[in-house]
Amino acid sequence: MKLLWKLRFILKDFWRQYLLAFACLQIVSALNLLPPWLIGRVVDGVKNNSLTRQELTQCVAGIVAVSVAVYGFRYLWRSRLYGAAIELIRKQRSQLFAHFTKLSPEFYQRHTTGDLMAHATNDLNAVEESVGVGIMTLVDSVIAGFTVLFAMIFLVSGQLTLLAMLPFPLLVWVTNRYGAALHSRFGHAQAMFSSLNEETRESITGVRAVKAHQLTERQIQRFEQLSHETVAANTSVAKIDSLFGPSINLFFGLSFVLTLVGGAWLISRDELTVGLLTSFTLYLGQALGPLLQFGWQFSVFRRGGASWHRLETLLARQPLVIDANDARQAPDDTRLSINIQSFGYQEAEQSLVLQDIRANIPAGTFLGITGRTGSGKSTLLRLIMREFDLPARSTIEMGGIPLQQLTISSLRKKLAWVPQEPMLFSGTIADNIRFAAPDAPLEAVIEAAKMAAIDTEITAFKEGYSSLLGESGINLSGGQKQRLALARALLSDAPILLLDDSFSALDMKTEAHILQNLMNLRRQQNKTIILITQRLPELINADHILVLDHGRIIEQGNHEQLLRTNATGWYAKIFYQQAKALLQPLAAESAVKPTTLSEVPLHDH
Amino acid sequence: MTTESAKVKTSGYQGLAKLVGFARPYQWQCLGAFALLLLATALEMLTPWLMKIILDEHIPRNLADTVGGNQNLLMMGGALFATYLGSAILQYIQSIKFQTAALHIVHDIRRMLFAHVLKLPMRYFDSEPTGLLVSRITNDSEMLRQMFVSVIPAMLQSVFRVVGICVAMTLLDVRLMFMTLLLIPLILLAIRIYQKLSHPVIHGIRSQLANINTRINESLNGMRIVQATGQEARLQQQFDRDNEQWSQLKHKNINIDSLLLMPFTHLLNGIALAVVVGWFGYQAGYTVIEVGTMYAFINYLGRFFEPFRQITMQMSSLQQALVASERIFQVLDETTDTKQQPDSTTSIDRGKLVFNNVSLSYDSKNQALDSVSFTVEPGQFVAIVGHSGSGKSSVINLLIRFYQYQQGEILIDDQPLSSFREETLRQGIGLVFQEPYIFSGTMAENISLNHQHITDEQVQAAARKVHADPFIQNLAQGYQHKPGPGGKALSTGERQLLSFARTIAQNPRILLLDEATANIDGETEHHIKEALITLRENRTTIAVAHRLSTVVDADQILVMERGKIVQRGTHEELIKLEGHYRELYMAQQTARQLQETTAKDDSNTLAATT
Repeated sequence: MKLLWKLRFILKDFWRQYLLAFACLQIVSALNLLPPWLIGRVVDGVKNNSLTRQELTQCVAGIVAVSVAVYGFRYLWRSRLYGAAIELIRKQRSQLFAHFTKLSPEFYQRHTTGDLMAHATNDLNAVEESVGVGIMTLVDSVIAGFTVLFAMIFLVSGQLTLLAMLPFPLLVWVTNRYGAALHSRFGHAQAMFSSLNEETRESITGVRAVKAHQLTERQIQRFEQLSHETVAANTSVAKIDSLFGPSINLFFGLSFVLTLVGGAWLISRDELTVGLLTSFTLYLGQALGPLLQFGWQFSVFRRGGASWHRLETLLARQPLVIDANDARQAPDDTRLSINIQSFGYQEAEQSLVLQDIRANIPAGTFLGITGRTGSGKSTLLRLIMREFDLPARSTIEMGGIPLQQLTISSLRKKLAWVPQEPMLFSGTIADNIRFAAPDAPLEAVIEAAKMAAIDTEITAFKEGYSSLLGESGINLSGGQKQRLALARALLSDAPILLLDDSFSALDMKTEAHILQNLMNLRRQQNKTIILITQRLPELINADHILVLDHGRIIEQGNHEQLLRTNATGWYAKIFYQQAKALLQPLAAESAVKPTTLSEVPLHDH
Repeated sequence: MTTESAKVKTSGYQGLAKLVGFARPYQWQCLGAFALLLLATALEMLTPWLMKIILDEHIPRNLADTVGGNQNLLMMGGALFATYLGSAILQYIQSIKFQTAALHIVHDIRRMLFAHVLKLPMRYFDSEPTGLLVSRITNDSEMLRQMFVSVIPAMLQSVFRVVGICVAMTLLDVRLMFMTLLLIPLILLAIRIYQKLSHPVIHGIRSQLANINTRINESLNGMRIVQATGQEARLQQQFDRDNEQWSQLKHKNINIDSLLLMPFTHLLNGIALAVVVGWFGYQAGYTVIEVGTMYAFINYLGRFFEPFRQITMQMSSLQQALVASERIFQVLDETTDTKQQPDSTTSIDRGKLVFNNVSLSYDSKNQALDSVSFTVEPGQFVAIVGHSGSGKSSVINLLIRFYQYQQGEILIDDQPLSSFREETLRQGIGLVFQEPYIFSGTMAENISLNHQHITDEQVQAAARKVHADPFIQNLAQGYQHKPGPGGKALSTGERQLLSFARTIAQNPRILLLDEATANIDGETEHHIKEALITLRENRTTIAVAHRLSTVVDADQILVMERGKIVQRGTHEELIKLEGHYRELYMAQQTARQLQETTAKDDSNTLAATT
């Protein structure tokens, strides 16, 4: 019930529909009283031989008319009430999705997709059940129950009603007892089933070990044992579960017998007619449904209430990064200046991710960033994209304006980000490349794909650019995904390209080819390229390289400078190692012996 | 699509026939339950008849009758209650009988299915995802239980009821009964129309909902890129479009339901009622009509519609059960390894291994092993290195006879592999997995692996040998500790040591070692290194090595590339040559370098190797 109170704001939008549905329900219940009453009259007429042709015709016509009308009203209330529930859920789901798109990355760091999916599916379902079937059965058992009771008492006999209702409290008590007993037994059966499931999973995932260690017989024995116990647990559930139906029938039968005997007694005292007794038994049949239903809906409401509470909490979450009141459009001047004193995802001092990062990146710069895993490289990109806001004394500026003063959407239009783990969506390959520029013509898509060195592989697919990705479509390799993500970024035509270790799955030749294309692009369009990488040979042509360690810049300069001035530094050391290990096959192929490493023919100048 | 579903249907019903076969051991129990059900239904059908008698004969017409009448009335009331009571008791007993029979049938099916699956060849598990197989054994069989417990009894009872009602009606008024029979085609027609209309709608709702959920899932996973590219509004639009379509289909579904299901049967009921009332009222003008007859007829009519509703409701469960049974039989139809086991009792004594031009292909397209030849003398230590997918593990897979090779021969102690019985083979060869598998059961069981001849002392001795004893002793119940599913409570290193102890206890002549890739810290790592040496003592060892540091003391290193052995020799020999081994070694050194958290100067080792 608390749920209904909480839901009043959304129910408010649909109150007309609900009211209409309730009105129809009431009309249906009232109309349903008529046929038994008419039948009773005919019975009395027959019994007393007083039935006229006209009276009979009226009764028959009345029953038909009521049936047709009830049919119409039933249709009406169902479509209103369930329709309202559907609309309500549709709205909620849409709102939830909109909310998801607004929440900042900080939120997604804390919540797994699985948890959030559960909100969007299970919780919405539980709410839908509450506002649909839950409300319906509650209102129906109240309306229909009281209407029938009213008819029994006032149209027939209060005494007889009292007599007929005698077994029902007992029935409620008995079914409650069953329910309690069933609950624990059912829980046990469920637990047995999941351990059976677990045992099966263990044997199947470990089937190699089972076979190699000759444990087949042991596993079969254990399985049999568990399966036996499952049977026992389920049998004990069945013993209680099978009681419900017969008990209800029995108590209902008792009520019937009491009615008949009591009715006969009343008839003998001339306080009742046979016709009215007939009507009464028919009413009794109508009362059964609502009486049994009552109470069932409270558990539905409980579940719905819990779900609604979760959804409410979720919807109350505010995005951390929002547009300032006087936010401006991002400037055309896309030089970046970074001045970060410190940044951490949490407040705590020891969890600082970046410290003392200062860099000026004029438009058209090729900036390389490298360092160990966890040194803060990706965080720097996230800050440029303003996925997080910086603390007070740190700023990142674009064209001299702090990012916080720009609208988020205009800022992100200036940036094209290629993540390390490419995220693709189900749909065609072309749609995926077009993701950030949905209106781009196919030629532009192909152009971008060529630049990302994936065009030939795409055209090799049977459906080419229309090939579907995802569950029902083709699977791409890690490297193909990375290049698709790159093509997507190139097509978006943003002046700043952020590449977060985007070539990690590519072989050296493709990587070199793509880098070459990017260099050309930078020359032609004056694009800024910020490239995070673990493979230092990618950075040979960079204008400037930042080497990060534990969130600080430990070395910087261009490739030559880093090798020359800091020959024992991290960059030089790792570069030599990588060059030896990684460049050997390439060097062997092109028959050039790498005497000094700066002459490695990786890129044409 | 129609042909496909038709195919499913026919084979589904074949499945049903086979399923009924599983009920054979319980046929008497089932027949007994049927009989009880029949009796219960008959009693149920008797109640309106008794009411008719009460109304016609025992309702006193005037006060004069009351004295004798009252007693008779009470007796009749008692009889009426007795039918309710009898029917309830019979219902209960038959339900229990049905349920226990069903549970045992499902138990039989499960047991058979499980044993069958474990005996399937390794090949089968490559193509079938674990989750699906587990679901076959547990969930699909659970679906069958539903069929035995609710579908079959409900259908039978519905048929019994309809027949019972028709019989009773015939006895009351034959002509009216025939009129009632006219309802059946109407009801069936409504059901048919309903199924026809609702099927595509329900299907549409399901797929639209799947669409919506995929969208949410994808957007959540890719939210950063969505936000980075500013596509929120576009996705929202797409989402709302799907959502809108879903709601339209839902509305349609509600409309179909309301027009053709419950409200419609109520409408039919109402009209039939009008006909019955009219008929009796009309008759009353000509003959003597007994009120009780009319009452009983109305009562039977009211019960007439319920069975049809039941059947419609059970249809979808039946469909699901048929699909489930079909899937189960698919698994049961897979052939197990029926290869004839050789009679020989040859055991593995020395542990000499020979591969002679062995070729293997898993899919008859790609060669996993391509003419591989090598010899391992008893007690030698051979290491196999190479990239993933180069065929290293295939060597192990063949030796333990998980797969059949297509060409060449494998000899153990100069006898062909096929001349060994599977038991001897798997007893003589100890396999240490890359990720050791820990079974549910105690630590001791995990070491003895259910071999009765291994005593507790031997278990502990084995554990002590590989330094597993200290950590086992530290557990709450020592060797009787149950590490739980998958042994997740144990650390990677502990799991490794446990699997070493297992191997020591089995004492195989030949050791196949699939080296762990995971990094283990500190002390445990040290123990593992020592334990590995203990393991190799007096055994022929083939190790699939991932870390080259462990292969340094191998008698022979085989370097594999695309199913072939491209280099062989000792570490000292190989490191001097240009080629795969040196490249692998370099690449690993670099990878290690990048991973290292402290910028320790490792140039010494680098210098030493170049």
